[in-house]
Amino acid sequence: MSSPIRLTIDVTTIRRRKGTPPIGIPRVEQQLATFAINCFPGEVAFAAFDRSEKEYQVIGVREVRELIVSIDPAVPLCEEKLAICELAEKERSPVSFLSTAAFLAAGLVWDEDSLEALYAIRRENDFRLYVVSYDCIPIVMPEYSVHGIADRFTKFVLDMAWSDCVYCISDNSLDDLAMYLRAYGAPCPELRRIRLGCDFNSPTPDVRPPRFASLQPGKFVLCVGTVEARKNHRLLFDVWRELYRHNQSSLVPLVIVGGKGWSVNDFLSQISQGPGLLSDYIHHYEGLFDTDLAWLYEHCRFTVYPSLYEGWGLPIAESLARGKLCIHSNTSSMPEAGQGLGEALDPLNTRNWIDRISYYLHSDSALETKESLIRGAYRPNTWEDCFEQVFDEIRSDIGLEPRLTDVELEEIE
Amino acid sequence: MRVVTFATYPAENPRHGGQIRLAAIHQRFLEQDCEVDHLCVVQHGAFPDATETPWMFRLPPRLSAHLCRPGKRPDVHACELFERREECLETASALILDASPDVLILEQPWLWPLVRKLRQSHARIANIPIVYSSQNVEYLLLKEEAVNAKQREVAHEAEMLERDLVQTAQLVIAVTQSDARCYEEMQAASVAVCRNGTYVLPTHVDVPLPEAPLDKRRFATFVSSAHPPNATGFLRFLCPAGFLPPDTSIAVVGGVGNIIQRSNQFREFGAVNRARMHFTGECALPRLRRCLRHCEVILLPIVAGGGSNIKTAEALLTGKRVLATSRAMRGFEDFMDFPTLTVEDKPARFRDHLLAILRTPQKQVELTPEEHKALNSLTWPQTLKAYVDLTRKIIAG
Repeated sequence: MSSPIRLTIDVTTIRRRKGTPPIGIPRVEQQLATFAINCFPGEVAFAAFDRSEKEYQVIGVREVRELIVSIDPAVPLCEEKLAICELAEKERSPVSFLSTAAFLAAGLVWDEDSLEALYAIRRENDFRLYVVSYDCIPIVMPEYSVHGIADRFTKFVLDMAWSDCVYCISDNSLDDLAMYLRAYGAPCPELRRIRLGCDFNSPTPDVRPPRFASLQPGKFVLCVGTVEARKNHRLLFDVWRELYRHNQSSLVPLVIVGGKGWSVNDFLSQISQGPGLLSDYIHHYEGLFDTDLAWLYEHCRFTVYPSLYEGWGLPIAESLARGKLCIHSNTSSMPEAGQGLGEALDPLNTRNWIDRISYYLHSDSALETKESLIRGAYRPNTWEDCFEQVFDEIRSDIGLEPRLTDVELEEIE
Repeated sequence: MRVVTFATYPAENPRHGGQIRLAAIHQRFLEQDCEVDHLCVVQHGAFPDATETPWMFRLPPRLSAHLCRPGKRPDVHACELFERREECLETASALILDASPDVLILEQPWLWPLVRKLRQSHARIANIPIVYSSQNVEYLLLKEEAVNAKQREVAHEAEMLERDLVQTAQLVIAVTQSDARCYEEMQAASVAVCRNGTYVLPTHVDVPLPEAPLDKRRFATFVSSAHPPNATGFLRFLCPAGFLPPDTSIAVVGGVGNIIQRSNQFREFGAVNRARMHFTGECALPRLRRCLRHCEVILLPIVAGGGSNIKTAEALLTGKRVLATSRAMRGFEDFMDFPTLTVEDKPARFRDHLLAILRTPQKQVELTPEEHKALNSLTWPQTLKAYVDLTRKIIAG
């Protein structure tokens, strides 16, 4: 007897971004697919949306493995579990995910406009539909979003309203979503809260990666996030410019890690006008893998995150999980990510940021006190924690025991 | 019988309801071997595809602009043309005297000041019977729409004009019983009702699917012209359209789409509404047919305007399910229990009905022979059947 598909996972985003570094939402989809193969082999299937045909196609587990590894070769995929998945696929032939009990989409769904197709499939094939919602930023701050995304994103929010359950990544993003659905006259599905993981696929390397030869451990400040206007890198530039002019002796480099986003050409052109400041005190890296990032977090003095608005604020969690202070904004979801252990400041008050960054650059004891507090109190979440919750709940929703039973485990083995 | 009709639009290439009714009336007279001339006063630049004849008077650009200012309306004050331009008055007078009609039919009351003036100066014209062919009790409509003192003043002028015409005309032909009662209260000599109708769209033709995204969605169709009150109910009942499921849509057909998209109510949730609505703009008949043929339901969320709605007759005659307000059913009260029809005046319940209909696809409802017969009574030849005979009787005295 073939094993039934309990959950089909949408891998459209990592399929489209095959081979790109593991950042943001593609990382979530990659971690989700990895967890599904490692922990629930045999009962999961994968599908991806074909934009030109406007329909979903089944993706075999071998292709999913390739996608996962192309994004980060260090992903711990269990070969035995992959084999179980493959065996289950063969038993199910001809391949179809339409008999699935549940479908989970956690990628950049608004870029695909795929929920409409899913909804039409669900009309004929009864399954529970789950969507992960990261934020409502294109609606809250369309002026800071990719040009033209607002209509597409609003349609995604409306379509999401007809799913069975939406997983939100913070209380703030959950409240935003509920508020917009109400305002639009749309139904509100069950909204659940998850905490994203903040662990990396690779451990911190023992030696400094060669590309960071110019960085001295403990003598740089780290800012992780796509370079885009909303992330408010301009504030950091102003802070470093001010410290460069008035307090150069104690100044350390600012290391910005993140790809170039949208609407930042003017900003990048502007900062390139300050050659001394730029070459000595502002370093920009992009396309880093987890091993590089782990080294940067481990050896930075502290991290900064002056974003204007976030759905969660993963770099805050990543920083605190490694015992590093993060000076972050006090808006939207960021205080939640900081758990009261970071330093939360108004992202519109540059003077305040100058003062606090300067303070932690000067005072080793203040920094040590903060770090000690963080190490004692911060509750990190792993990707495994995150998806265990999701899978347990979905299994429970479709009438199964939350965890695999002994019989199921035996069957799998 | 020789007939001259009067209106502020031509009957040629009819687009809006008033034109459609006028064209249908002309057709009925022509079928009865009558001769018909139509005197119209139109705004500068309007109806560019209409044939220019001596009977068409175009407002000069400055006067046209003047009549668009607050306190004026291009229809209510159209006859200012004849006050300002003596030669126009003389032309109109010569045309009518030359045509020597048996009856003068005013479609809406706006050109009554011209006819009244000609009657005062020409005994021959004064002796020609007058029929007021009404589409609405116009002054009530203007009163309802008036939101400031100037608009209320215009509504008052319209009332004076309409009352005078009603009391002078030998016959008033209304489109609804309630309009008829109103004219009786205004001391009309004689009142009849010839309700609005429609033409049958050929159903035997294989109609292709409409354009994307409608081709893959279950959708409702709303058809209307660019007359502001036509948009009022739609905006009140259906915006924001976030209540609609992902694979559904509302097709908005006709000039009303521009008014809807420009409104604050639409724009406040523009992205939401664009996600669930598809605007075809003013479109040719084949496209309209596609939307009507393949939709699940035709919407008539009418909350403003008087008279009766030609779109109601059109919608009923398709045999499709129809979701309407009670105001949309004015003049069609005998269809209130028709099996294809749902009448609802509360916006939230209207949306609930729409959702329920879209969830249960049923392109065509099975009707009994009696019900088909009832639908056939909605065609123009049936609704205007008495029109010509009533006019003949008035002429015969």
